[in-house]
Amino acid sequence: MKIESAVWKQWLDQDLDGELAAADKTQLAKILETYPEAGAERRSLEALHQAMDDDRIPVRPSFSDHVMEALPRAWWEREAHAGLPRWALPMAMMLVLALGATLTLGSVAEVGRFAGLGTTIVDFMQATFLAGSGMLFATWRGFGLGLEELMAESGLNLLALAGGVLSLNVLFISMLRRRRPAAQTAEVSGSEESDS
Amino acid sequence: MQPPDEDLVASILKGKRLLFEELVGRYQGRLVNYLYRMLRNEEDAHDLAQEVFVKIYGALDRFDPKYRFSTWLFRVAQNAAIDKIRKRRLKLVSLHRPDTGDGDSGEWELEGQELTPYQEARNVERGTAIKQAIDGLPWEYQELISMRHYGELSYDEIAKLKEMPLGTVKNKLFRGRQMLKERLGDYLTD
Repeated sequence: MKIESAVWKQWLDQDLDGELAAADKTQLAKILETYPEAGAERRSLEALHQAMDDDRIPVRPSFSDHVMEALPRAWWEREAHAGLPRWALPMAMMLVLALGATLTLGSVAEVGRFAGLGTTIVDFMQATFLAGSGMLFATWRGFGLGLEELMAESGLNLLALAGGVLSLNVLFISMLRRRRPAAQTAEVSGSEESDS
Repeated sequence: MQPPDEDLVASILKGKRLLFEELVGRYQGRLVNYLYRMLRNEEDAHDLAQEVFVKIYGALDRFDPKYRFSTWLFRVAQNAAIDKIRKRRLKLVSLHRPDTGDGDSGEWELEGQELTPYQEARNVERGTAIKQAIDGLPWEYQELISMRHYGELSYDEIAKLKEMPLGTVKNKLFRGRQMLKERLGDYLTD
C-alpha cells in the first residue's frame, strides 16, 4: 500500500504532538522503516520542536506569590468562611426573646401549664406583628395610639414589642451590609495600584 | 496522583483558597509563554498572566465543570491578550520589527552544559531566527502554534477554543510548522 508523502508528513507532525491515532501509528512505523526520507523529515521536525522548546522563557520565581497576594476575597469565599448563615444571629435573638417572654409571661399567667407557652408565643407574635404593621402602615397618631394601648395593657407587652422591633432592625441592617463587598473593594484597588 | 483541575476548583469554592496556588503552578509556565508569544514582551506577559489568574479566581464560581479548566483559562487569556494588543496597536506580522523584549539573549543557555562561544552565539542567533520566523507566519498560524506549543493545549482543546473543526486545527498546525521549517532551514540542522 502506497501512502502519499503529504499524509505521512501530517502523521509525523501529529505523532510528535502525541495526537496520532493508534492505527495510524502502526502504519507510520512501517513507513519510517521503508522510506529514508520519512526518517529525515522526522529528525527535522524534532529539531523544530526542540528549538521551540529551548526558546521558552522562564517564569519569575515569585510569580505565584504575587498572584496569591493580588487575589481578591471572593463572595463565595466569605460565605465558606462565615460558618453560620447571615440570618442566624437575628433569628437567634428572636428566639431568645421569645423564650424569655414565654418563661416570664408563662410563669405569671398560668404556672406549669403547657398551654400558657403557646398563648404567650401567640401574644408575642401578635405584639411583633402590631409593631411591624404599625411602622409600615399606621399614621404617627395611629402608631402612638397602638403603642399606648399596648403599653397600657401590660409592661411585658412593651418589652416584647421592643424586642421584636430590635430584632427586625438587626435583620434589616444585616441585609443591607450583605450588599457591600468592603473587603473585596479594598483588595482589588490595591492590585490596581500595583499594576499602574 | 494529582487531583484533576475540576476537583481543585470545587475545593477552592468550598473555601480552600490556598489550593489556587496549585492551579497557578500547573499553568503559569504555559500561560506566561503563550502570552509572551502573543505580546512579544516578557514583562507584559507576566503582568497579563497575573491579571488573568486574578480574573479567573474572581469568576471561579461561574466555571462549568462540563468544560476543561485549561480551555476556559486560555480563552480568558486569549481575549485579554487581544484586548492588550488592540490597545497598544502592535504590528503583529512585521518580520523586521525591532525586538522590544528584554534580556532575550540569555535564554538559549542549556542547563548544566558548558557552551563554547560559538555555540552561545549560535543559540542567540537561532533564538532570534525563531522569533522572526514565528512572527512572520500569518496570524492564525502563529496563534495555533502558540496555543499548541507554548500553551500545550491538545488539538481538541484548540478546536473548542477557536471554534474550528478538529481537521482544520491539524491542517493549520501542520502547514504552520512546514512554513517554520522552511524559514528556519539551516538553524535546524545542527
